[in-house]
Amino acid sequence: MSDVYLQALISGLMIGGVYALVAVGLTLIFGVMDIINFAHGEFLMFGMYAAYFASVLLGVDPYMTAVLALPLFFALGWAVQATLIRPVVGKSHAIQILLTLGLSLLMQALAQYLFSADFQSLKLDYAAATMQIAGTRVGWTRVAAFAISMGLCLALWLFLQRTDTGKALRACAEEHEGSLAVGIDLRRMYKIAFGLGIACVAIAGITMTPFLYVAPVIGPKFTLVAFVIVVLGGLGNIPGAVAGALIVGVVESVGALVMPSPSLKDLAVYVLFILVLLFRPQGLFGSRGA
Amino acid sequence: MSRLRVNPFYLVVLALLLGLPLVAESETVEAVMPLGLTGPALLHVFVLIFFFGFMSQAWNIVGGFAGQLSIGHAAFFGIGAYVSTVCYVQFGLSPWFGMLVAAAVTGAFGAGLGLVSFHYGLRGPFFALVTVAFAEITRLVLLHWDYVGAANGILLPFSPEPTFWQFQFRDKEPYYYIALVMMLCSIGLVAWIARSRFGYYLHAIRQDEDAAEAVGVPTKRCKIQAIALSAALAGMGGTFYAQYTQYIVPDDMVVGRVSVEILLGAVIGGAGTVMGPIVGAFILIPVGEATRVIFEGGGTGVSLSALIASDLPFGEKFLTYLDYLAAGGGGGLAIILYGVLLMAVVLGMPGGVLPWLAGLRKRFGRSADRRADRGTGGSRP
Repeated sequence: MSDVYLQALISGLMIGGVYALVAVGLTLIFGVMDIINFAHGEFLMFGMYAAYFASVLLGVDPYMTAVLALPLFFALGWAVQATLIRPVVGKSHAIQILLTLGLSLLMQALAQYLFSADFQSLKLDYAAATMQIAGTRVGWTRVAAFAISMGLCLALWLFLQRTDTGKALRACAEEHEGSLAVGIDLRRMYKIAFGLGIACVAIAGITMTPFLYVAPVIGPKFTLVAFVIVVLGGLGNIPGAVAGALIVGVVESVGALVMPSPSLKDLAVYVLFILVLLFRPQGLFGSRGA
Repeated sequence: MSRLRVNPFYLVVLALLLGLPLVAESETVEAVMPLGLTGPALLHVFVLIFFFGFMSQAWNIVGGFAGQLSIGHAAFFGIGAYVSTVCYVQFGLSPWFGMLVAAAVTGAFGAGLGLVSFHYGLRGPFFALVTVAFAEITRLVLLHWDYVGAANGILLPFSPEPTFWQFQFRDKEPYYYIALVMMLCSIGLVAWIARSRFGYYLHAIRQDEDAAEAVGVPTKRCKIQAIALSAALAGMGGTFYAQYTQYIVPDDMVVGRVSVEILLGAVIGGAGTVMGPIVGAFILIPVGEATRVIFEGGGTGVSLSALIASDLPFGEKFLTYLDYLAAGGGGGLAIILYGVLLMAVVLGMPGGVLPWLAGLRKRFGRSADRRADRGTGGSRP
């Protein structure tokens, strides 16, 4: 019996690692621009489609696509920020939510038009390979997704801590006027933050392509999960988001065991979400009021 | 403004709508309407307009007037449809009464959601997120609850000789008039709210909740009343939908897309205005239906998955793919348009079409006045 739970714990941590990268993108965008991106999951979906088509049409390995996707999706995020998001920075939350909802609707429908509503999944030679962790078997592709995502989270964190641009981004997140006063180009920071956030979520999607199907409708689930994580970890808090993601991953996979049906696993996550929003809106680790 | 003033334009439109079913199949309509949109097909489009106008109006009470952005109204819509349908299928209760039961149940759900959210002071994006999570929870529960058909949903029993009490009709006309009356009632209700003390309270909450609280507006109670009322109406809409389509299933009803479609009419027409949601529905549905008819007609019969797996050379694959896109691709063009419209309205006319028009008229009127002044008042001191 305990074996089953150990298995669930480990696979929960693996998928939680990927969720961390999704949520870190969302929290970076929120922290710097104070914008809640309801289209976040749709960028993940486009990342997955990019990896899928690169693999089936051009024979490019998904892990190769992940490398190429960094500049591509960074540019996409930059462009979307410069055209659609920029006008609503600093506007009311309702306006921002409606705009990103519109974007999410557009991207979903666009994916349906371009790629059809069919569920697609990759068949890779190495997809069935497993490895032994703590006495349980875990799919190799899941471990790779976890490792890549965690590596990128760490890289992003180091970037924010060590580089000038990263420090400027953090300054924006702390204090908009103050950072303007010391000569930080806010508009450029917004574009960088959005570009980085989108690149993170797209790469998270790509790392999941080897073991997860893709369809135009998968986005909202990830958007909501990312919100759950971000609220758990405290808005704008990157280490908090990573911890929150691991918790959500475990809650989800243990939920699949204890719920009457495995597909009810998300229920546990949403209930956790509502409880946290109600009782600890500042996050599990934060002290700042939300 | 204590007396209700009705724009004569709306009265003319109403008169036309009342008479439409009588002439839906006449030659004049055939001559005027493109794409052979006459008779039942034409009435269907109007039923959709009325239905979405009604749903948007329901959303408008909490989302527009109270300014609490709900992105989960599909949950109330779905629960309403399920409640009346279960009452009908399991207990033989007429859907007319089922609709009232549905309103009571969804109203209670709305009040509960409001009570919990507003008691803990959830605002803005956090309230929006809770509504999303609530809708997802509703969908998951419906999907796994065998008593209500789980993922298969419920197919309403077809009666060959439907009676009025079964809320089932062979022709479109009865549905047309029911939907029209529902929409009119919702307009009447909201018009009344807008001029009541409750409406002014909601307006104050929307403008500045803290200030409203400070001057003694019972903000929490008002917000809970608003969401309960809004949810009850949305539940009644669910009953109508169930009776109209005769088939309900969670994955078509309680999904984010439906939640967005419900709020879309109000946001585009003008959230927080009495006629905004209706104007929005009259813009959205015709645009969406026209797009569906024009671009998603035939299709090439090409399956994308089959095309990807085929051995065609890359160039030929690409050309076949372009044909596929030209024939409507995998569908979704109408929704693409909805998304573009939503973003365009948010960026270009943030209050919605009606307030934008009012602003335009004011500006135009003012400049006309100024012209008139210049014309007559040449002898300015």
